[in-house]
Amino acid sequence: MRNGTKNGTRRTTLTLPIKALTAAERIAEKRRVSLSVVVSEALEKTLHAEAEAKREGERRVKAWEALRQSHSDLTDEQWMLLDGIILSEPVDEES
Amino acid sequence: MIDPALVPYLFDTSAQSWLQRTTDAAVRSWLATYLERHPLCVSAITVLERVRGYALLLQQAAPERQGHIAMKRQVYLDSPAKVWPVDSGVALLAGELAALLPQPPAPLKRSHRIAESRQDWLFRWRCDILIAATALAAAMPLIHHNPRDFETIRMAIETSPARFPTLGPLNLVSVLRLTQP
Repeated sequence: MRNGTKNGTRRTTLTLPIKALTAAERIAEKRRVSLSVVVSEALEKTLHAEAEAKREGERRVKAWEALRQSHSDLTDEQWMLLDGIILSEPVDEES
Repeated sequence: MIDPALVPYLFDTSAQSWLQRTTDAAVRSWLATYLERHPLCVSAITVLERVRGYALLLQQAAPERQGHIAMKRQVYLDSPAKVWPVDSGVALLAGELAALLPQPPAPLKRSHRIAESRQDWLFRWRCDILIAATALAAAMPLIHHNPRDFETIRMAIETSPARFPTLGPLNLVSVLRLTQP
């Protein structure tokens, strides 16, 4: 044990909302595990979701750049078609 | 500047196209920050307009260019946008708006010797109404590049609150103002 660490864990003191703490204690009791297990599982889930959201964001940026580059050679007239503007009627010069 | 991290926005068809074309580094950076946090949200109507556009591009393309257009269409369809459906709530709002605003405020588009047909002009207006109704139903600000049409819709909602109870206002953001102070 070094610097208060043991088996990849470390003791710490947290200040938690009573409602959340009581709910976590109930879950721990029902599952017959320690409060530490329930809290660390919840923390792991949050960290995993954060990391996944970050990766998803990076994927979106990359896909957008691919979309942008793939359309970089379109003309103004072609972009109008993609915007739903269809110019097809001959204009009467008199009008 | 509009905060890119704050909330997801609904992107109108022309705003999405403008963002694809812009070379403004500040706008591109704004969009990258937005996409890191939120999906690119579009209406199903934008997908309709885009897919119709690709189909027309394909019809017009020389045979040797058709594969190139098909590839662009596929990249568009593969891009990870969040598509908002036209459900019963959107249809209800769009119906009210279409009755209030049967005619588009902007004139027919024209360029040199060709112009938009009246049929296409009305179709495009009804698409705008459906996109605005989607933003209103989802309570999302709408990023657009078509102030004349969308401001008219916003005003109609504001001046007829009885037709849109508990909804609105329609929040509009011009794509040209995303990075302006």
